[in-house]
Amino acid sequence: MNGLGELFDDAEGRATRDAGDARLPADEFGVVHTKVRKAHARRSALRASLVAVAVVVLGAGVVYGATWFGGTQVADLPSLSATPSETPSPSPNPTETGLAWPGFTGSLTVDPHLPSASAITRDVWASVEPGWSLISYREAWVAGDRGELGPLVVYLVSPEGDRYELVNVPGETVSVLAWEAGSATAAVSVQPEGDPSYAGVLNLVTGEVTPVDGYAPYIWSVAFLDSEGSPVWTGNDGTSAYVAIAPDGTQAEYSIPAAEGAAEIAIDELGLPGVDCAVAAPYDDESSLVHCVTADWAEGLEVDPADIHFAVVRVWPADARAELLYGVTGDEGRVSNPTRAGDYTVGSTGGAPNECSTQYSVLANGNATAVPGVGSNLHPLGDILLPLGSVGSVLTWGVTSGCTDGVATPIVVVNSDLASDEYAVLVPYPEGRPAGEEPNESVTGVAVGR
Amino acid sequence: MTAWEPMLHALVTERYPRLLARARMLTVSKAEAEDLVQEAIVATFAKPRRFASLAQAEQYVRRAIVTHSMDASRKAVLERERWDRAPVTTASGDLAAGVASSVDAVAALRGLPPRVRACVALRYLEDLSIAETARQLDLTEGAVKRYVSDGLAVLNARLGTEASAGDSDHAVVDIRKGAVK
Repeated sequence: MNGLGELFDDAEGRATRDAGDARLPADEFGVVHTKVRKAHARRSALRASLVAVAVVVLGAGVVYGATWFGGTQVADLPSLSATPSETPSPSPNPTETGLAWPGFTGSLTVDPHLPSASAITRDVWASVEPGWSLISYREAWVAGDRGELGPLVVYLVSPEGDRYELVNVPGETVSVLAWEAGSATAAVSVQPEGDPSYAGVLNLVTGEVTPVDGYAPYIWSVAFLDSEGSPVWTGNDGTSAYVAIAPDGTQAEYSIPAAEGAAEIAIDELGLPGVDCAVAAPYDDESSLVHCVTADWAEGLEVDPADIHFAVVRVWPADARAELLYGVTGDEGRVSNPTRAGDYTVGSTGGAPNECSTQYSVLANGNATAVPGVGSNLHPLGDILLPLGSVGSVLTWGVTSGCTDGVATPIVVVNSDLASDEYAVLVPYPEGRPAGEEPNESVTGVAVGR
Repeated sequence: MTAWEPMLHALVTERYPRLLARARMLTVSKAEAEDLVQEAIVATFAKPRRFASLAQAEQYVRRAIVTHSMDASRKAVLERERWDRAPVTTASGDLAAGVASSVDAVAALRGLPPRVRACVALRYLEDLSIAETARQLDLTEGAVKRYVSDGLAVLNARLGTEASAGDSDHAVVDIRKGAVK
């Protein structure tokens, strides 16, 4: 045991003794009681006002939800993915739309702690279009009791996984956050050793970073993808809950559209005892994705494994309408972290209900269909799945580990075409590193070109 | 009387000291702790939940205390300065001899940034898994992992402990047994 747990236990025991027989004064209990009562009154009023609307517009979504939770799936349901979005258009003819050459050095860094890659050429750069990605890469490992870092290189990566070195960035670790395809700059965060992180704009030709005001998230902090397929970041302390970062480095608070009242509607429509719902991500301008979990399961008390315990629901607050996209029983595992990717809804699935997800799936019509590439042993310990961006039907996502045992490992980056069932590995798991130098970090950032 | 009222009354009557103790782990003053407990109780009971037992209701409120301590911290412009000062004024002199006390632990915990503190508290005080912590705080699992790692680095440095991010992950066993503290 490490001692920290004992210290906390001892501290809470001391605090409990100090609290003694403290009681909430009667007048303050009255305040608490009144606030709770008013909240329930508002809920009742809201429910009453929605009933009239719901009778007309709930329609298939509610019928489906109720039927699904009753244990019978309906065959002919409105499908979220019945009409997949068009796949990205083929690469344009470079001679027609080729990009101006920014003056890259065209050099290639060769190091045992870098993935295989090629030097950037004018022809390659001319064919860049939305769907190509920037990926910043730096391996970190522990040698003895000392942390070591490999070189940091920013790669341009084609949708098929061809990597081209753009620039070698010496010094502080840089994470690419947002990029406009064809631009010679990108929004980044910088993580200096021992100093606070800061936001900046990286010159992809020179490797210089110009600091800008704002939040400096890391790749872990992606909350979900917006309607354009760009990552929205979980805000830091003292900022808004979510932050959107543009390729030029400008930042703005992000609010999920159609979130007001959505969780309440999902709770009412699911009708499960103890269900607890929260808005998790945007769906479109009129609806949002709500994640629900039953209190019984969350608290781990007596539960029936056959009951639904996790669900992802699409809710239209203005219409008081809800549609169950996916729900799972205690036996089936869990679903969490839903997000939109083009015309699809994806989320982490599988695993035991109180453990970590093992799958990344497209959620629709009560079914979870594995995202192409999932289950292909792309990562030896993968149990954390990160949405990183999407263009058309292609979802860029990452897989790493740490949910189960807290062990940090490199991130494997994958492009999956949700319409064609094909996938490409953009950055593989780093194999064959020198003995004793197996990295625990690799990809520091991914920015899918818009 | 509605369904929630007896449970609310029982909770406040029987479990208030324990809830206050949890809040004191996360706040600088007793007054702040009292406000935090009330806020957590209201937030918990204002939703249409159905509690199977008093223990379940208490556990909900205990977790809500942690969550709301994070929210409350966001609202307080000057709070960070108070957090930063708190460890200096409350830590014991034993640290000079390399012996951390529970007082030091509380001071160090209070000194963490709100999100980091909430993640560490849920992992170490509530024994939640990373997945459950993420759900409780509406964060991604990756973000929780990073916050916990950052928090433990600070705590280990201040307390001389050797906790790692994988040390507190037995909530799955407890929960499946139906154990509620």
